[in-house]
Amino acid sequence: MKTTLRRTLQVFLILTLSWLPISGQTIGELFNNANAAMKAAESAGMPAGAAKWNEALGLLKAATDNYDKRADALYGPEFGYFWYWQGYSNLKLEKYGEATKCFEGCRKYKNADGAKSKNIFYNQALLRLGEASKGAEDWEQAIKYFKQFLAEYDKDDPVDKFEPGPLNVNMAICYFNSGKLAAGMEPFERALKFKDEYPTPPNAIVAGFQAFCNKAIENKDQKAIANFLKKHRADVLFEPWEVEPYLGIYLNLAGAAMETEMHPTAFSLFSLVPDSITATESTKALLSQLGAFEQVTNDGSQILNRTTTKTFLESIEERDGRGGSVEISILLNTGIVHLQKGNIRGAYAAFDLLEGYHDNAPQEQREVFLYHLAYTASLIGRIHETEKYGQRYLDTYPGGQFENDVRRLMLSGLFYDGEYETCLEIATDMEPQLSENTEPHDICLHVLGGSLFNLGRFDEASEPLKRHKEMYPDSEFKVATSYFGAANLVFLEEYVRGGIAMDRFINDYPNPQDNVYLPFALFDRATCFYAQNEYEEALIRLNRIEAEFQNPDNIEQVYNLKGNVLAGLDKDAEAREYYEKGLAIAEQKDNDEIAGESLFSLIALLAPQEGELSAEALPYYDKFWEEYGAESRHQAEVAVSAMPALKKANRTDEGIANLQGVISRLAKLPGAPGLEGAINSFTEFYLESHSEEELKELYYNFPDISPQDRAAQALLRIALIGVYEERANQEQTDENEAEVRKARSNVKVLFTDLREDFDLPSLSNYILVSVGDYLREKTSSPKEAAPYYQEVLGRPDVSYRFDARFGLADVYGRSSNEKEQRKAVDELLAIYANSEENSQKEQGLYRVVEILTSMEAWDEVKTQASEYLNPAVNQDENDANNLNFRQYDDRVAYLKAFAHDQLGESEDAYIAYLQVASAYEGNAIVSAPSVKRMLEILWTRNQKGGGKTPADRQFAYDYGAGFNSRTRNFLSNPNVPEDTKEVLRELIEMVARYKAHPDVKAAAE
Amino acid sequence: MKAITIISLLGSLSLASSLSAQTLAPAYVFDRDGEKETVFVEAASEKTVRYRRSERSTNRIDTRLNSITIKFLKPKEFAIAEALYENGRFEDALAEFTKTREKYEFSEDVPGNYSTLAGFYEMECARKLGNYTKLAELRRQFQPEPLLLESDKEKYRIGECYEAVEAKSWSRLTNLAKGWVDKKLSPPLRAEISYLLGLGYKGEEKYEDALVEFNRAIVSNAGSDLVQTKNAVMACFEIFETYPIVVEARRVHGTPAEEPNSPGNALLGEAAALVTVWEQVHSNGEKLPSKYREYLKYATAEPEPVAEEKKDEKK
Repeated sequence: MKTTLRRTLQVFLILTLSWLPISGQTIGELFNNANAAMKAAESAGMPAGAAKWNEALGLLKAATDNYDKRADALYGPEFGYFWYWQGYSNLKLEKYGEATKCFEGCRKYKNADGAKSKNIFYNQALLRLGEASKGAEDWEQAIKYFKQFLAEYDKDDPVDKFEPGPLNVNMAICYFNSGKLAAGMEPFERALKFKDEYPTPPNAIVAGFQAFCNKAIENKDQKAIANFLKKHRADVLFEPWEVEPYLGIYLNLAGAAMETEMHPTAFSLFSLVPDSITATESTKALLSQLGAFEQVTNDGSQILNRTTTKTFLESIEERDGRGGSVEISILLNTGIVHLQKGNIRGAYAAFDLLEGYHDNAPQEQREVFLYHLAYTASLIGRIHETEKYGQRYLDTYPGGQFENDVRRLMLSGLFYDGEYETCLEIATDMEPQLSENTEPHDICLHVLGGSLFNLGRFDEASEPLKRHKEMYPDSEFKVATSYFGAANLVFLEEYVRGGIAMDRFINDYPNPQDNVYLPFALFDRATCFYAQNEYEEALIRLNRIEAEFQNPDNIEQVYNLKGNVLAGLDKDAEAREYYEKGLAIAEQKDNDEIAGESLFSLIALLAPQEGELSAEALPYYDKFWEEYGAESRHQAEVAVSAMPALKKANRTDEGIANLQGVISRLAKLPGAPGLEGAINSFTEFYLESHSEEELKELYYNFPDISPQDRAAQALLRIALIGVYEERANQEQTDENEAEVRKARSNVKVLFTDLREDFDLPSLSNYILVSVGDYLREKTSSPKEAAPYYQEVLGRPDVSYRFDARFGLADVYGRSSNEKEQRKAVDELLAIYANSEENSQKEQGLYRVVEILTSMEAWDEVKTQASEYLNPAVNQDENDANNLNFRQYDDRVAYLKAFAHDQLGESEDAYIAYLQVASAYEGNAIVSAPSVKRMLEILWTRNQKGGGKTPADRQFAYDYGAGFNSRTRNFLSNPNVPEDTKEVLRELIEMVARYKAHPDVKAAAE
Repeated sequence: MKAITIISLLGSLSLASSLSAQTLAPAYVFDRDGEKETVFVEAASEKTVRYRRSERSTNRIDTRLNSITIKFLKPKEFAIAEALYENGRFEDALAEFTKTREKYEFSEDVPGNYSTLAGFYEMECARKLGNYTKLAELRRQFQPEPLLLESDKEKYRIGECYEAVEAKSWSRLTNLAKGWVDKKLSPPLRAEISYLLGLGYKGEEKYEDALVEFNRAIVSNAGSDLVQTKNAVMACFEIFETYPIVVEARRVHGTPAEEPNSPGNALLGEAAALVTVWEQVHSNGEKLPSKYREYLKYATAEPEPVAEEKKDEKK
């Protein structure tokens, strides 16, 4: 505009020299003042120049208002000048309607051939009319004006000279806005093709591109934009230092495309925006090239302007500094689109980049992407990242809008990835901070109980699991928590309560689709039955797993347990088959622990067998030690159980050496199971080829057991005591008094050594209780155990306190001194009343009943036995966690009946014996004497029958005959004690006697 | 502008390239006072530039580079090559960039010269064409110092990784790429490093880590480098095709043995989502090979909710 303005003003100044003055200002003054105002406006730019454009407008309007009617006569066509520049001022002020009128006014002053006065803007006005129509969004009209201009302008007239780049772009914009994309593309492509020659400046290119994209997005015409970019991406991709003014336009277009789900378009548009690193580097590079050059110049269509470029650099750096980089918006959009489309890993990657590169983003944005980062990390199983970013969220946004979600993600993510230690740590800290009856607390409590359970801390797991079950009956974790609660009892070896709880769990959630724990629950239920020797019931559950589930995760354990059950049913061949199946699957899954268990089971099954079968244990034995031995928890059991087979294969020394190694290894593991068994087995086999003195020598200096391994050292000494006690008993049987004395003397010396060598205060509670228990249960000197228990009870450390109290009470209970026995009863009743452990309560109360029996305190036996069988504290029979003693109930019920009997309460005794006989018939130890006494009472009572009630003697015979028939096999069962078999034989004799009596009518055989 | 003509130095100048009457590089030379002069460079060394004030002038002016700044004007050949490159015609662009590099080789020692920049883009074309042998060959003869942008120099150094790709030396590739991950890189470089690290992990059969890196490559520079994005997408599918847990999940899909919550099944869902993401978000309509499109049948029913749709929580 500047060139045109300057040139035309020069022409006009010459013409106006002859003009007449007018009222106020002469037309020359109006011209000069308007000219000055326009120059000032032009150099100020917009919007700063608006006032000057308005000033010019007023002056020019004064000229047209006052002179237009006489202008033809006074000035001729050259008066068009005032209309043209008035229109131009309106155009600058975006008054398009006014501008149009002015340019039309200019077009009234037509040029005549040969005339002196000339309207040099006559053609230019067409161009401006096009621009004004475009401004007024009258697209069709604008196109007409532009076309008319191109048809009519004078190529040779310098005043008609125009900028073809912007004109073509303007035409294109009008076409685009009127919906004619293809028609608009022609002038637009022309402007692009000749952008260096015309030139077409970047702002015009961007304006054209913006109009094109807006219409294409409005039409959802993704293909049009794709095609354009395929051909012209280079034309709309500016140098990073050029694009700064247009960033907003590109980002808005991309945002619009994103909103209309034109995702490829959106990302193509995002790709035109330079990242902040590249933009900064490029801008700095340009500035370094320009040096101190302050003028504006160009390189092709590129405008090189140091001042503007410096401003851009400041703008980029300011934006980056406050966390407003354009990449944040792009990455956030990318992450969300990937999340919506289900590509979680892509979303995770985007949020991870945001956090990695843009953690200075505005807080409200960062909170969203940090949460999403933890969320997507959890979805793709990147648990450590979930924890890391979740914790960062919690630290950065305490009380933030996603706080609860984040806590849930962190805990559940870690929990389901098996990170129980970490879970326990977090949940323990978190639980007190959470409000009860909220989802986060629900999750936290579930994770707390579940983690303790999975870490094998079953005692501690009970409380949170129970609390969760009570507090959140409708929790989304209710299935898991119910399973953990029931399984917890099984792992605590509370098989009766565990079995009841597991039955309830299986009944409550019978559908495998809703209950992923079902195969585990059936396995656990089978474990309970197996532990209670109910093999058939166990088999039913194990068969269900095999039949109803395809490759459940615990199948190798199922096969091993099924092997155990089959072995219990004397189906050794089938048992072996299942152990081998378990072994194969465990090896396939690299489950070394179960593979070791399978091998142990095979060895334990085969090694004691007669004949050739025993030798078949040895390949499994060798495999065990080659592949699993050192790490397996079954090493002691394997070393012990293989000994018969090793002995037959003349590998005794190897077996003994192996046992010795096992003892050395286990000695270093506090509380390791099997150590005692290994020592006993070693002792037995060692003595086959060595003297007791050699054994003593070895046990006092056992290889690889350091003095610090106190438990093992103590157990070795105790084993020695056992050897000499055994020797004393044997010699006594052989009536060899000298040898008895010698052996007893050795025992005494060993006890003295034990006390002297193992200074009690230096031993841990565990060792003290272990030694005490051994002395109490396995030697003829249970009283020797008392100091060990007393030492524990005298310490502030409360670990093993119950065991010590129980052990001490038991020592007293074994005494024949009534005073000590009473002391034991009182101590055990205190344990029953105060212990928080149900198993401790049960054990204590049972022992009370036993001691009272030995004291013949029959009334008290009745009272305490009734308490055991129906505990007063039991409140809800449906709650598996309530007291429901079942471990010794058969024996206690029998002792209660026995107490009635001893007190001469024959009626009560009869009923109590009948109950024992009916409820525990399978346990001949209690059922056989009960039946015997019941029959005797009936026979003595001898009441006659009446109605449907049989006579006492007839009933005694009938019941006895039935019982004998049902328990016939017990006589050949090696597990039934000999004294019980004796009672069974007496019963057979009694029934035979009854049968022969005239009061009895014998049933048909 | 002050003339900085040092006639006496002419005889001792050691110029990098021989003079050529036809080959001149138009440039602006700015002196320390901010004055501009349009010149035509005909030779240069690391320290000195020789130019004429007009194309036809016979007077040559030798100026020390430390006394001026220089901005080469974009040669037409470069602009043509650049347009071909930006419009995805990498074969043609490579040829044009080669011509440009060779034509303006005489200016290659001066920072910001178009011969070096053309050489840089030759390597980019080779990379985009997957011609890593050519890339290695171009790298060997390339001098990155005159490049103006640190990002471009970093990109040149990253090029070393492609030699490990060619040699299938995956652990070396992983180590090389890992050396870059903690650096603050521009999005295109992040995408490239992630892709290379993904290739390394894939070669080492660390499939899930590789999938994360390939996805990082996809999202780092979404839209800007469709070739890179596509390479990353295809690499993901190569993993889905061979990763045993995915193969097994496909085998049992729809049978009673299917484990809906297994990691393999989750990856099948990811594969389906990746088909969708490529075709609906990034590819501008380009379909994946039909064998990869088959993964669409494993699509999970529900898309993941974004934060705005998620609300907690008090029971």
